[in-house]
Amino acid sequence: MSVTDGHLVTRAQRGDLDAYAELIGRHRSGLQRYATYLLGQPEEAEEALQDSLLRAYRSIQSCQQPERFRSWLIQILVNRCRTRLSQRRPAVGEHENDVALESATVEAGDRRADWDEELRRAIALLPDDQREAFLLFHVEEFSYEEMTELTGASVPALKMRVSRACEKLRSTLREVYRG
Amino acid sequence: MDSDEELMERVSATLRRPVSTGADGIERALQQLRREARQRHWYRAGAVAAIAATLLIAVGLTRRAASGSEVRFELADPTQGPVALIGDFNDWNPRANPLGHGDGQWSTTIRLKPGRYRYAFVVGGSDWRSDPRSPAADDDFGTPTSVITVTN
Repeated sequence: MSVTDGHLVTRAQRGDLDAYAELIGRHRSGLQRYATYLLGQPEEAEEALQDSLLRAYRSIQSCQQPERFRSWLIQILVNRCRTRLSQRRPAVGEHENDVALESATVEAGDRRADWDEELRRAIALLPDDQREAFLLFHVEEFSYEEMTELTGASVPALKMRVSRACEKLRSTLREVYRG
Repeated sequence: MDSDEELMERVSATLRRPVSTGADGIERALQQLRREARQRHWYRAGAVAAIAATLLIAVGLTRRAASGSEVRFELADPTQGPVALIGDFNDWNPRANPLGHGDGQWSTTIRLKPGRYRYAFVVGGSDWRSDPRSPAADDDFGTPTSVITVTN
């Protein structure tokens, strides 16, 4: 019988760093994925991860529901990523976003597109809140109720963000997908 | 499933693949936490050692303070006794340190910590005598007492 997250959290709360390392190993993929796609820059994603994991261990006693460690940890990462996003230059205006999107579509039409690269660019072009909601729902597969706890936004607001993100991605990537 | 649904399925599937960033913030975090744990361990070990050393020093000082020096009190007196030693060191209790008799004199040996003590002999249960071999002590009541100073 494998050890549950809850058991590992309890051990980590007693100072067992190896238990914490095992916990992180279990959720490593999702953590790296989320930070990388949300922030769009690998180095910054790794810094956000490092920061989040240090904070998480130092406040591990505050994980009141050990079996929900993943949600608790992702929330720390969501907050750290939001902080980094807010410290960037002011968000690109709508006009500039539209230009970037159009440019991406035109380029995809002119040449054989690299699907992964185009997808990353399309994700990066989403507004921060839509990108965050899309990644949490479609990639990390949280429910809207869980996302409410993670983001502080209401379920209707989250559904709207996910819906708009999907619209933009379809618009951007349709030609690449069919090409 | 229409093409838009297929598109979003492919998007999600692609994004769910593990990513490789070339750096490892996770490993750096764990290394830092392990360093901090080692530092806490050595700090605690040092603190324990310091406390242990302090306790040993305190015990050593206590033992040294408790050891004192052996002092012999003698009174040459032909009486039958009893003869008792009383003083600052035994709350002037005549039952605390009775003297033994031998070779024509009464004597006892007790251990005293360094300090200055007044004392006297009580002969026959009621007769206070000062020690003729020691300096007399100041006494506002005229009671015959003597003084002894014990050094390290």
